[in-house]
Amino acid sequence: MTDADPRVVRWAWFAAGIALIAALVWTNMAILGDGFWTLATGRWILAHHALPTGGDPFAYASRPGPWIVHMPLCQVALAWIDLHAGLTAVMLAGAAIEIAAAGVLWLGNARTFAARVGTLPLALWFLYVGAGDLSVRGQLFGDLGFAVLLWCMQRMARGARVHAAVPILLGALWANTHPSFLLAVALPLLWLAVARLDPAGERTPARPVLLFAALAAAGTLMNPYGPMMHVDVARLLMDPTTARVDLFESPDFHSPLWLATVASGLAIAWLRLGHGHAPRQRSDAALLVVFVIATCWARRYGTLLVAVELAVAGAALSRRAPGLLSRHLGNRALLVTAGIEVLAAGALLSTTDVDALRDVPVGATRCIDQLRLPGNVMNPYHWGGYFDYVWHGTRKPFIDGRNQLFGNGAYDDSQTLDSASPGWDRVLDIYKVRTVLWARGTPLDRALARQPGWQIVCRARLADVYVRRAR
Amino acid sequence: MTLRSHAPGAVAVVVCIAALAFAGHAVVATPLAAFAAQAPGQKLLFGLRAGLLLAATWACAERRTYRTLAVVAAAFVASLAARGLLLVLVPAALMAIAGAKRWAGPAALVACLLPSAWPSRAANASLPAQPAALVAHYRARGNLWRARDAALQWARTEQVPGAALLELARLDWALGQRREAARALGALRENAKDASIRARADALMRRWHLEEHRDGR
Repeated sequence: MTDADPRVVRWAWFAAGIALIAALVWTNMAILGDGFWTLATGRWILAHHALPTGGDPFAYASRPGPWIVHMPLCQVALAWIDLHAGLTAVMLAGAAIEIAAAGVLWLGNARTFAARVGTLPLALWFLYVGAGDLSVRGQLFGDLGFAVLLWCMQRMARGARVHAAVPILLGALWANTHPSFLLAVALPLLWLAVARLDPAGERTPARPVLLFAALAAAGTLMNPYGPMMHVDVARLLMDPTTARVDLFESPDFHSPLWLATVASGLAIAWLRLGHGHAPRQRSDAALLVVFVIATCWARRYGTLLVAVELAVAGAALSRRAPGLLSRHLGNRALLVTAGIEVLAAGALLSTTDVDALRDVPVGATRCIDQLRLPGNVMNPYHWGGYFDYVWHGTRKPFIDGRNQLFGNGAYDDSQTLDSASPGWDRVLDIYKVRTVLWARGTPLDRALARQPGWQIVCRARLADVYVRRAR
Repeated sequence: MTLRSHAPGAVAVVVCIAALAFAGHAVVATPLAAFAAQAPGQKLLFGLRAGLLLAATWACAERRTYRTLAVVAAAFVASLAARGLLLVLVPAALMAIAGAKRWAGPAALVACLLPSAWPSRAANASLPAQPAALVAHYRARGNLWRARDAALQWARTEQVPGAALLELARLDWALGQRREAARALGALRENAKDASIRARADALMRRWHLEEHRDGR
């Protein structure tokens, strides 16, 4: 075993690493509420051969007026796959995108075998941190866009060229697939700002990065709404409802996962400063500290932090003597770790439930349709997308994950119902709700069960359905 | 050593003390709770943590005091797990910053504190007391259901069908509740004492008939 060709052994180890990444992605891939309204919107666009110009066709409590679709290309592409190949194919497509993102982060920045061995745990950590939110939706394209962006930044930092078409294409594709596209301009500018911390001879050349940012900005304008998309996305970021979505709240720092994420970012920053090789020690450390701070503000930036850790660590390890780690990595060690990776991948896959509908209330929804229960239907925020998908606007839910449409007070009312806070029954009266579908065992579920004015008509796996008794 | 060379460190200390004083009891309330920037009173302390981390990193990089930086980083992480440990982070970071001669550290501290001291936009600003203004408020926010409810409460206070019922009819129509809207308009045309209200109800009825005719109903 130890006499095998080292190249073959390395390829085997490499393949095992990819298999483990793929298994981790597939195990955690789901289609949550956001994924379903993504599909519903794509279907609407494909059916009408146009973007919606009037109001929202899906929910009844959204604000009136024109609706700017933030991810048209993503929605159309995923809906097309759903129409032609089904939801499992959609999950496979989503998994492929996320695997590509992890692959670009890992392999694009770690250019030597030793660096790849050293940063595989970070690549797996990148996926593990985001596992709870992993869903087929635009964010997968956002992850891929960010990975490609970091790769481009590292190339320019090394003095290598990036073709002018790359930022234009990146900006254009990103603007049409996820609202995080403003990072295509913001990150290069941040990169230049922190580069000022490095000694003059070590700084990333400014002109290529500025040109990159300008071309990316031009690329982002290639969307159906032009600059109005940027205005609407900025409005979404500033909307008070966005700040109250759990993804944009601080992580739970009683969880070792999040403490370790922040600690690893600071540890890599410290290692770069104190023990790293020039160049760009200070700028790398500063970039990591900025993303640590961002993660403390909102859980959403946790995966971006680990992505930056991967990029910084991969580039730094690649600059060390290529044989440094290799001298300590014999065939036996590599084969053993490859075996462990394959076993871990197998264990993950053996426990995977591939059902695309496992997280949505299929039974309760069917009950509403079969019994022809009266509208308006009240639903939890995170399931709204599923009702958009199933009902195609023929029956409308109260709310879904497009929170920019529900800053009119509907999101706040949804939160009141979520916690069954005082006044929850008034909310149901205000919106003339006659049917409620809600998660089992939650405060509202228990409150409705106690109310004489409401009658339970269905009890399904995930949700209960209540109708208002006639007065 | 001169006073001038200690000025940046002194400024950092003063800014920290001011921030802690401004934050008040939020500094020591629930000391074992995990840090959450959105919790009451914690936004300013988020800015303080961010500023101290940036300033300390800068100062330690300048002076190559990496052991001090490790202590500050550990204190930062610990203060996330237990809020009360901010009182450990502050002196640790100030010790790192105090010896620095440049103003970049204190500047970073102030830069982080200023936006976090900015009051957040109130999700529910005070609502108008006057019924017509309340209806207009919800219309402007784009919540026709709440506007309708406000119009309904307003209509219940009217002795005789008037402006409130007219507003209710409009909102019912906009929400697709055409039967209710037509019923309200009918009541207005029969019973409203104000001639202008009756005229407006007539005009609305004609316009809605045209719309229905266009829709093929």
